Amino acid sequence: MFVNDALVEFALEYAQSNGKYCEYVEIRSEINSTDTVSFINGKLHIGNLPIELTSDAFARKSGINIRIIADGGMGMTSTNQFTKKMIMESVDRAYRNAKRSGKQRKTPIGMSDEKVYKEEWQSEYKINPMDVSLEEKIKFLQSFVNIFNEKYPIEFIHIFVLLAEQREAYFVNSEGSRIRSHIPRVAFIPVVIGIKGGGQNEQSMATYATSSGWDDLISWNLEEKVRNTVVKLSDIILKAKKPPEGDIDVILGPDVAGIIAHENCGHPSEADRILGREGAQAGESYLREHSIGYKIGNDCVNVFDDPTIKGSYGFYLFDDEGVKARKRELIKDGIFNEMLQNRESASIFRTQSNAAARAVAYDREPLIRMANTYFAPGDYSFEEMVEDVKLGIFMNSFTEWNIDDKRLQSKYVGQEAYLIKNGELTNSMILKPALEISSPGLFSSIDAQGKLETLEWQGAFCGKSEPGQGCPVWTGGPFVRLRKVRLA
Amino acid sequence: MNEMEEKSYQLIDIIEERLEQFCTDWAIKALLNNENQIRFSESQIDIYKSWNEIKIILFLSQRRRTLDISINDLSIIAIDKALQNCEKLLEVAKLNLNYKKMPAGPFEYNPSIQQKIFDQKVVNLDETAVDIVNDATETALNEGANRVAGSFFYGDTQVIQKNSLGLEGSFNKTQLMLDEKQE
Repeated sequence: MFVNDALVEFALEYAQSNGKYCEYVEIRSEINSTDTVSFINGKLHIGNLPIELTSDAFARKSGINIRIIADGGMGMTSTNQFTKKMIMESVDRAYRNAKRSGKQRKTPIGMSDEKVYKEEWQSEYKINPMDVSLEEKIKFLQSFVNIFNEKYPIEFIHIFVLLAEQREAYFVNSEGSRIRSHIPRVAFIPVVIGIKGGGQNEQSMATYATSSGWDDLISWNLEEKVRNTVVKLSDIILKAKKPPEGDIDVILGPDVAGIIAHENCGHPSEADRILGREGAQAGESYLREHSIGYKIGNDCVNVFDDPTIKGSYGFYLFDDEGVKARKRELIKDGIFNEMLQNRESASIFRTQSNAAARAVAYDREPLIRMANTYFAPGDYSFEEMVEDVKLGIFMNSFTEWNIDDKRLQSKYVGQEAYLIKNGELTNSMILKPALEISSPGLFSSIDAQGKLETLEWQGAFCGKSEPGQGCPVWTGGPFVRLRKVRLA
Repeated sequence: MNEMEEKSYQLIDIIEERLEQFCTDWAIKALLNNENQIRFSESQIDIYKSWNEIKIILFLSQRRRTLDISINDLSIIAIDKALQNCEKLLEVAKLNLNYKKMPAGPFEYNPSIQQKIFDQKVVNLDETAVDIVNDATETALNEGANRVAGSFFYGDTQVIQKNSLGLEGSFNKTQLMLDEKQE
């Protein structure tokens, strides 16, 4: 029994009584817990600050969120005070907010018709990261710090963050849905900066994240991955040369493919951006000018978003509007096939929600968000991709990226990158190759995607809205080949 | 005293009792937030949001080992657990060389500051907030904008403070911000 079940039901009942006429009501109760431990240059931090100035190491939030549609307007309130009086005040306030804003609107807000569910779901895991002792977490991080006891040809700054969190939620709405969920997550974020005298430096940041528990995270041989990063950063600083000029082919590694899937396809596919709702916040979308069916790339291009992938950082089975999650085929065979929809946007586009509504805590409204966005695998082995390339580079990872607020013009600067010459991958490292390209230009340059076994995932926190919401996601892809692109 | 104030003082009393058991110095700050945001795009209001919450912020010290933490899960179980964690952390924390002891005062404040940081008109904005947004969008449209997006934030916060030297106090502040993008 969730601690606030009775109050949640009371709130729903109260919202539909006393002469209030609500077109839609939903109540979401949440307990959000976060533990953060980090080491900065070998020094233990608990929370955000050094241990002697420890801050917010153990964040605990609990409260109720109420959303109401009345007179065509939407009102929301949230409170962390679980008394009937405060719940009644919050419901009354949400109702007033909805009615007041409805009067200003020319077009009423609606919700798409969706199936009613009574379900409970949780991620599968053996060890809840929230149950792992502080001592064990410190020991885990210390093993990465120890890597830097060895001698390297350059200096390093290193930051290791371990973020364990848990979300417990109970959702009800006026249509009869009752959905309870429990999901612990854990992320390990190594940040390594290699520095050489004269101001040369290279920075690497990764996020290894899972919803399958502590046991899953520690099974990933992360120490070897970090050790590998250290060696690569040294090599880049000491050995990398200028990139080739003119039109060349580029093979992207899974890290780069993942960020492109997220930024150039996922964000612009969000229906709220397309409708302009994030116009003054996260931005809009180049797809606003186009409709479903727009040919955006070559036939081989498929970019999907799937919340139902077990163990993923963006895992969920029902969204925060009670809609059952499913895979979304955003770009299918090179065609803009599907937007990410919540119930409000789906009603505008006269379609169904595809369960993209997510809120990060009780005091935030559910927004259209990605879950796990990725380039779908193709038929090529990495060797087959390379052997067709006369002159090109293999960009295995990136160090920085930029994209405009309509997600049209983008730039990705490679980190670990190698020259490809006459069908062979060479050992020659390329220094900061910068791919500057429009989203349609990028998707139209792709001619091959790697096989399923080359598909890899990275964790990330996707930022959006005001007040901000950092949403846990995975980005991913196999190797992806681009033909005849120009490096900046 | 309203319900939020009553609840805050109750929580401060409970927390104070726990802190006395393992802290040499402590300070408790309760923030009582009543905040609102109207978000609009395409020249129409998308959502009108209100937050009503109590947030407790603690500064704790045990012989120059210090930490601070914020709590907004107000259940006694959650508060107890958070304070147990704090106690453990203080035991392993290093000495904070920047901290000596809590200043004892006496402190003098200019009472006119309260008038400068609090405006009753902001507290009373509920009736007219939508009209303000509407005026802002209509004006922009009349001046030639095709569409307008943005947010209007307003609210008030009561801050109640108490520390281990017996100092107590409270003040109120208001805040508002209109953010508008035109195309």
